[in-house]
Amino acid sequence: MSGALAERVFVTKLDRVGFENIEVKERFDFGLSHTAGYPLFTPDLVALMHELIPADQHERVATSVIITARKPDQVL
Amino acid sequence: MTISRDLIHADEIDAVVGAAYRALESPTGAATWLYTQDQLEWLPEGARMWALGVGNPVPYAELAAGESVLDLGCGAGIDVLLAARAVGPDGRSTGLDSLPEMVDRATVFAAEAGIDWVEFIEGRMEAIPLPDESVDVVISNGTINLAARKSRVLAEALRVLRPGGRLCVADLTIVEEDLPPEILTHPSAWAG
Repeated sequence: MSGALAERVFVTKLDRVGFENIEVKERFDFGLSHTAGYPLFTPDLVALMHELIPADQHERVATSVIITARKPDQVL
Repeated sequence: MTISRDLIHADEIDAVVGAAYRALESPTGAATWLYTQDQLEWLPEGARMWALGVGNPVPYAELAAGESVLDLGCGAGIDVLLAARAVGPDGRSTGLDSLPEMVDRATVFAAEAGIDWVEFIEGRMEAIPLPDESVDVVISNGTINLAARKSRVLAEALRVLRPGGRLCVADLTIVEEDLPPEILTHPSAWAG
């Protein structure tokens, strides 16, 4: 979770390194029910998230996005 | 700069992430819900069970027959195989992962799928061991959020793409203010 960027920061980084035509194609909520089986969502971390994050936010603790971009034909 | 980024250094992040993924022995198919029935039925069981991404990027990559594709942080290779199916035997689908265990698994699953126009290489996303302008499309699925040096990863993706090449990334994003600092600073929270 702490490694994830805000969407606008992700898009800005793509722009700054030189990509163009940056588009967010899909967004969907990533919730605590989706975390099972991912190695870094350890049981103690998930328990802490259940404890500290309000229940009405449990199914949108992050947003999964699909972003597309293009390398320019000519890189200056 | 966030609290979490103050508390943990790049090499520590790499160690935490690598150790966590290396220790995973019993995959649960955590990410199979992201894929279509058609995709799942075509894939070897192992590739399905080891899926650990956070999206289904291959359909959005709009791959064409004969293209070359690179998957950054390919894990056990589910998206490499799906990309290989899309580009066909005249194309090339390459998976890059820092863990030799994942490279070995992906190689086995590709053989099970009967796909021989794939290649899996061990290496870091921050230093892709491929020449400049050597691939048509770069994809990744839930791995850039794990990298300590994200701009470096993106710059490397740009370097290996041919001019006009495409990037298609599935990844987690957060609104940092929505998450308690105890979560953001948890040792295991560099997750995805």
